[in-house]
Amino acid sequence: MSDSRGSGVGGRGSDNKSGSIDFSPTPDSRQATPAEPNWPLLYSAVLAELVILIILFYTFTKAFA
Amino acid sequence: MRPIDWIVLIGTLATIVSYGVWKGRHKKNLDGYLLAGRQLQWPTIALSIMATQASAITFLSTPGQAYADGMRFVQFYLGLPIAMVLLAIVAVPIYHHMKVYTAYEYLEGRFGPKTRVVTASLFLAQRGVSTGLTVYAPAVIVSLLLGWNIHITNIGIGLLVIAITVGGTKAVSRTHVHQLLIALGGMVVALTIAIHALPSDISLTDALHVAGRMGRLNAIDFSFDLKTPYNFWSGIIGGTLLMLSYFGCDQSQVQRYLTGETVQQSRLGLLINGMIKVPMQFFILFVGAMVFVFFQFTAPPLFFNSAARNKVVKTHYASQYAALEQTHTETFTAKRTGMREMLAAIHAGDSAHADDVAVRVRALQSRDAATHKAAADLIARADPIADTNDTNYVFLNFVIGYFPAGVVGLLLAAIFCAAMSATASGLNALTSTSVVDVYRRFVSCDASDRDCVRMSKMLTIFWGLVSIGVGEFASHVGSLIEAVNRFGSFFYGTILGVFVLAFFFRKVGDIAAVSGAVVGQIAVALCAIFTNTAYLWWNVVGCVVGVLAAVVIQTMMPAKDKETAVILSLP
Repeated sequence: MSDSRGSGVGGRGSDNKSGSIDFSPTPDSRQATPAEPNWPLLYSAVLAELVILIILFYTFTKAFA
Repeated sequence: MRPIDWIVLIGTLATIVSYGVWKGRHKKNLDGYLLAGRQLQWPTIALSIMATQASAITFLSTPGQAYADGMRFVQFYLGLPIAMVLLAIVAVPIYHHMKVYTAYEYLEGRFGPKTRVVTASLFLAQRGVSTGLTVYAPAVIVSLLLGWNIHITNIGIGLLVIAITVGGTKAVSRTHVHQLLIALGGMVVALTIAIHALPSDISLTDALHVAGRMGRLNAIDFSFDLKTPYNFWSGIIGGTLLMLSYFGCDQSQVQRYLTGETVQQSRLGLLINGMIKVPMQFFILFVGAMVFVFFQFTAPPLFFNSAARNKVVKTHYASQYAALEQTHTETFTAKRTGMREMLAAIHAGDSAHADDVAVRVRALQSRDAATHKAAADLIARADPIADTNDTNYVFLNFVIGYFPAGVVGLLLAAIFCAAMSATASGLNALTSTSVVDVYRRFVSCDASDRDCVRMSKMLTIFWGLVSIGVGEFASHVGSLIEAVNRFGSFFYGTILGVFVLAFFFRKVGDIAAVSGAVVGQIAVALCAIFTNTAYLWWNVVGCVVGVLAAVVIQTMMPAKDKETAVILSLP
């Protein structure tokens, strides 16, 4: 993919040896792809699952204690 | 080990290693070798992330942890989903936009070379030792219980891992998928057999009552106590910071999601891990709880580490050990009678009587624990270098003693697969950091991709041999899973602090960040040496002290230095 990289230091340039990194956005990172998931919904789902698991584990702990 | 077990074990390992070697062919550029050409999709990334964290220690020591201490260890993972969400939001886009090979590469752009060198060095030191432990852990347990030579087992596992890892990241990630599925399949088989091995009159509900009344289903504890290793608060606060550091700053994990084709694929990989990991750990601990129930109705040995037991009976402590075994047998018989009485009371709906009996049985359990402790002391006196932490031997002892032919081979294959998956990620990350942050940065800045790939393969072999060497010298590490986590927690808070500064404190420069890291690490060391604070809190101390110290130092620096501090905006 990036055979031309000339330095171990970050950045996309092949001759970047100064240690500086280009933080400017890349096209693929700023343009939403057609199938871009609804991220806030996904994050909420992960956290909601955690809350449900804690409640289930607590119920499980109390049910057989 | 019966012939069918050997066939299953060798067949499984040979297939996995051959597949890994085949997948690792023809990698001629560094991107392809270290990051699988950044082409992987989220299912492979998610399974690779899980396989990296789930080492053989997870499958050997975790059930033993539940056997001895109950399921409260699951709280250790409660911060993981929170960390996955935060990393998906903050770290993944940054790493992807910059197309870095390592997490430490980013720090040079943000701060300067000093910070990169310090964090990369901390990682190489910490991960070099940890990877050795992940090789040694299954080697010592398997060799002791099966009578294999520890050195040959340790070297054998190490060489198998090197064979896979030398093929590069794609080989590692692809084999991770199969290794994790085999390891989890083995645990499903183990749970099924554990439940079926219970006496015919003991149902699954009865087993749950026994485990619960004996304190083995204590999954959640809301009490706040800094000295308790696992409770809700240490899991949510300390666990979140530990997982943020492990998944966000440890190259062995960062490298897994850097292989994603897009930000979206990497994020999904992390989030799926966040959804699966906690139930998976609960399941593995539940296997341990069921093994505990099994040994309430089938007499367990006084000491599960049979090698240590066999040694003590050949010394002049033999008669004392025999007396302890007699006490253990009597206690077991009384306990089993009490269990049946307790279950009868529960079936009759007499909960008051069930509670009374449970108190009596728990007293017997404490008496048995005291007998076990006395046996451990005796073994330590007879053989000072014997491993007296029995937690690591419970599960494999159960597998070898009670599983049918062929299934023992499958379980051993599962344990070896887990050992290989975690170790391969460790070696892979050590290689990336050595090549990108040291070799290509400071030794040979003009090295071509072909040279770097050649150097990567050599360094993979080098770090593999270092891991085998660490394994050869490792002993007396107590509960292996705790040892690895304690060791990680010693450094992770400090490293996380540096990344927090990088992400959120734009005016903090190189010198302040490095100084803050040193102060944070000293604070963790003082905390570990002079207080009884549970190790999960070390992550909080290292991170918070490091960040505060860096901010204070930055404000105290002369104006000229403030102006030269690297100020780069985040995307």
